[in-house]
Amino acid sequence: MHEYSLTLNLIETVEEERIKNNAKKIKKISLKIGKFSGVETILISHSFEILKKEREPFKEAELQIEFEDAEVKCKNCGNIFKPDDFPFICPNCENIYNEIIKGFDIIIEKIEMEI
Amino acid sequence: MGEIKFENLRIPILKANELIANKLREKWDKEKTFVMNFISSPGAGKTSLIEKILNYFKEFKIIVLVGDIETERDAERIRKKGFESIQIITGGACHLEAVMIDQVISKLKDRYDFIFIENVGNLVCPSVYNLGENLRFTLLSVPEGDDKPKKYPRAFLTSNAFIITKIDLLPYLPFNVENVKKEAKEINPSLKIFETSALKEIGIEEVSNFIKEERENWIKGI
Repeated sequence: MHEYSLTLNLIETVEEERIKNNAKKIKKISLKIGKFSGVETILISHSFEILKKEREPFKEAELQIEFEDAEVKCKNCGNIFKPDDFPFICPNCENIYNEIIKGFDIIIEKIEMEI
Repeated sequence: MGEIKFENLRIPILKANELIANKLREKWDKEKTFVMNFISSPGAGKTSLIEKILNYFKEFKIIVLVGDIETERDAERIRKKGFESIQIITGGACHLEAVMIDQVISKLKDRYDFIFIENVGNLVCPSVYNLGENLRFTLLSVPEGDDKPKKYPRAFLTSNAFIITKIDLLPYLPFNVENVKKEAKEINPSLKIFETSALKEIGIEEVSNFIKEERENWIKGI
């Protein structure tokens, strides 16, 4: 289960932003979890609830999670499409070599802090 | 007391890992050290494959970093072959992160031609963490079954090469090599695929040549 590690990574990244902005507390974090991130959303929420108790600035923090569709850009014709499954074949020109733009990672979209 | 809101940030949660991986990458570019990350389930044969590959790398300065949850066993196996090896005991973590590699690398005094990183046996989590490597290999052994690529797509998606191991067991097990290759290519069309058996020494030279060629091309491009 790497959701626990990922949640620790999340807290470290947000903590860096907090320090950079001289804020006291984290109020809310909005995450986008990609369709192909391979991550179990419920395990992230669960890990967050446990880990936030260990860090003073996170004790009141709320974690909001949204799902993010995948987006792929065709390397041949530039068409951007949303694949449901592998293989990621361009619906326009049937090219199979494509560039992943979105939906494979966990992204911090918003942070609300108290200063 | 006030509130500040930051919107549309789009910060990957693995930003810290990426920064360390990039720092390692810069150091290795400068020193011309070629680094590989081997990923597979436990028991797919990472250590056995690396042991055999090392026979083709005797003229190079090499270190093998081995990640495991417990024990020094794998590093001892590599040392017995006369190569340097350091065991990274993760103490429970199911993957290696760039910071763990950095801790080891920062203590090394010598410069290396090649660093082999054998990740913790796990087909899921290691694929998420960039270690600053040049090449990533995903291994799948014949006894594990040919339905794995689409079950664990990220490892295949993020790898440069896919190594099928233990092909000497093909006569005894229902494993369709062509299907598994097709499935892996559907996930990642640029995957280079090898069929190997460490026990019977099949395909080892091909993998070794591939590594050397990739290093040559990389050095030309720096």
